[in-house]
Amino acid sequence: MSILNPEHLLEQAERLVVPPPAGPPRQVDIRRAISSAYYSLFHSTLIAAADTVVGQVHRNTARYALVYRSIDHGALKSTCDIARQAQLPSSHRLYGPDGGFLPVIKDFATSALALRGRRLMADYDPMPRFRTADALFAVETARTALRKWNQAPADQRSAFVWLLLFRPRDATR
Amino acid sequence: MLEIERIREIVVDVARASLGPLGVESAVVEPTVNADGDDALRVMIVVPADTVHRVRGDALIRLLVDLREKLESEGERREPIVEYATPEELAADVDPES
Repeated sequence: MSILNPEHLLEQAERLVVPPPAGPPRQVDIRRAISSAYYSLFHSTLIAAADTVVGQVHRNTARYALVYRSIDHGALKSTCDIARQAQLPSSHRLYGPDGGFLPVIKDFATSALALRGRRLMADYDPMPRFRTADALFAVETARTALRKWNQAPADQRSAFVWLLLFRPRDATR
Repeated sequence: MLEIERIREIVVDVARASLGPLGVESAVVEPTVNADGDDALRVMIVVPADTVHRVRGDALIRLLVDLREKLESEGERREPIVEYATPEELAADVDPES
């Protein structure tokens, strides 16, 4: 299995919005750059999840791919919505880190949510026009969010990943 | 649900606090619908061209975090979808295809 390097997605995004000899970059390139910025965060969580559950030394196994592919964009959105809250909801408190998520994880979650919104527009909505400044800021946001993710204490990343993989059930159901 | 003008004031205040007083030229806010079909806010922040390569990611994330928190503290639940442009880019918006 060839694991995608999230940082390479950001480098690709920067290449896409280098100004051509005349005029601004093409709309398809700016849109792709914004999408790649979001995907760098998405894939970083998939790698963390599969590394946690299956193990980094088993990256070449089908089981690793099974976990990697089990997470969708909706799951990441839900987990980010939960993680950025000042207090975890009671349904999640037992499984979250003691004292809740630290600002580094909340910053990552807020960034992922913001880039998700832009990525959905960039990939699917033909109406808006996208601009180079927007793409450069998306890349800068993603790169900093990735740094925060990588610098977060292991127990914080681990708690995020478990909530990403498994959604607590309501005790009454 | 806040009035659009109040949201715009919040956006400008938060953006200037994050990007610096000279880092924001203006802001435009309008209601929209996000990809999930929910009511949302389209927030465009116009920044001077000479700041585009100088703005750091920490400031951009601070803006996103503070904006959501400030809006929520005033009872605004719609998701802000933040985009950026320079005045020059807005002036060049002519060709719908390229």
